Amino acid sequence: MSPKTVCLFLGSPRKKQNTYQFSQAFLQDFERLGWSVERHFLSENFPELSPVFLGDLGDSSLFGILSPMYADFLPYPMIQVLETLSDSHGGLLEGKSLFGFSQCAFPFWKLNLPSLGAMEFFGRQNGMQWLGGLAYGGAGMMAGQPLESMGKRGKKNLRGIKLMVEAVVEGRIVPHEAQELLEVNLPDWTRKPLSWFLNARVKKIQKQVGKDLSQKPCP
Amino acid sequence: MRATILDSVGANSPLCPGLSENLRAFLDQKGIECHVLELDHLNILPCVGCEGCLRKTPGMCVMKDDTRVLVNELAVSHWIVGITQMRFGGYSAQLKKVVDKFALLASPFYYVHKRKLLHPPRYGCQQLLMVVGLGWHFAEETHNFSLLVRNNAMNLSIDAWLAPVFPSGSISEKVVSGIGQELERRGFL
Repeated sequence: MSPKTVCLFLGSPRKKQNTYQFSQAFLQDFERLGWSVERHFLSENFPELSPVFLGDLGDSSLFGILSPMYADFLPYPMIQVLETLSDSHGGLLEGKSLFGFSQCAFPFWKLNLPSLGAMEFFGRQNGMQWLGGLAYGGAGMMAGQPLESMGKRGKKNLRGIKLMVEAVVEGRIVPHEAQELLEVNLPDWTRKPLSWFLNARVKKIQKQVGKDLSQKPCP
Repeated sequence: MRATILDSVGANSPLCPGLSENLRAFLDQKGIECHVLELDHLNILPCVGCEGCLRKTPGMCVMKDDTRVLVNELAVSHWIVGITQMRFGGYSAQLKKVVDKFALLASPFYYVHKRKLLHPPRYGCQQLLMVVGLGWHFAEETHNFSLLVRNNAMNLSIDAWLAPVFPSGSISEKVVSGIGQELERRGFL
């Protein structure tokens, strides 16, 4: 096992989208601190875990789960792989450290809490040290673009990720400040105007595809 | 009144043998037309986030699988009932593969409902989401599980939800009786 290798599990079935962009930020911060980073898309690891993935599990001392939210929770492929790891390969993880990152399209970061909870329970069940997780809401606005291109908000988010990485490489619990740098807390009154804005985007797609997007194809 | 049971553990699971069948019989007895979908018997391919259900075939998955069978049932069900082994304080992969398709039950437009920004329901008849969780490693998982079911219900614009949990190896008659009491207490029966 290499003491300075981190293995990132990417839970999105879509490559080069938001989860990948977040992983880029993690990668840069880990490398800056002299760590090697192995990234694996979990959607490529079922029904069978790939030998490369299994090899990297053995070599890594630290693990990060980076996931989008599908239907309010970790996507199916991620749960499938976590189940396989727990049921058949728990020994590769025992005694190592784990952190988590969950992001959702809606601008409400707390929606990610069940996903982060699941990451923690996965770690605890496998004898890992849980270092904490970060929740990000509003990834729908990123549309697969890097955080660097998102102006002030992107820079603030990058600082949050940096704080997280600096903590986990030292085996420290992720500080609250890291979460605060990722949070956007919209006041209640913004929901209605936000819905108008988002509906305008959906109407644009509706016009492009020339179909009623709210049709009912089932009886 | 109609209910669909999404059984991801199977009739012979040691987690709670015969649960879906006993629950179906109980609900039938109470006048609720109940259909059981054994998820093992459905060929559901994983959602890959392709947005085909948004752009190509609005409201339907573009995968050539049994998603249409699933959505045909759910679209006309007043109650959606899941049965799952609790994994890491959430759903098993088997159930989650199906839950990932719940997005088809909502329109891609947005509205504000009870101060929440949500997608409006596409079919609109769903009144209750109940997911039965079986077995856990840590007691705290049950809280996470409840939070997840609550969020699922909220984002489907279903106002009522239940997340009853039972230890692994429970007797199905007792589980059904417990669920029945809770449904009665909440005024659903």
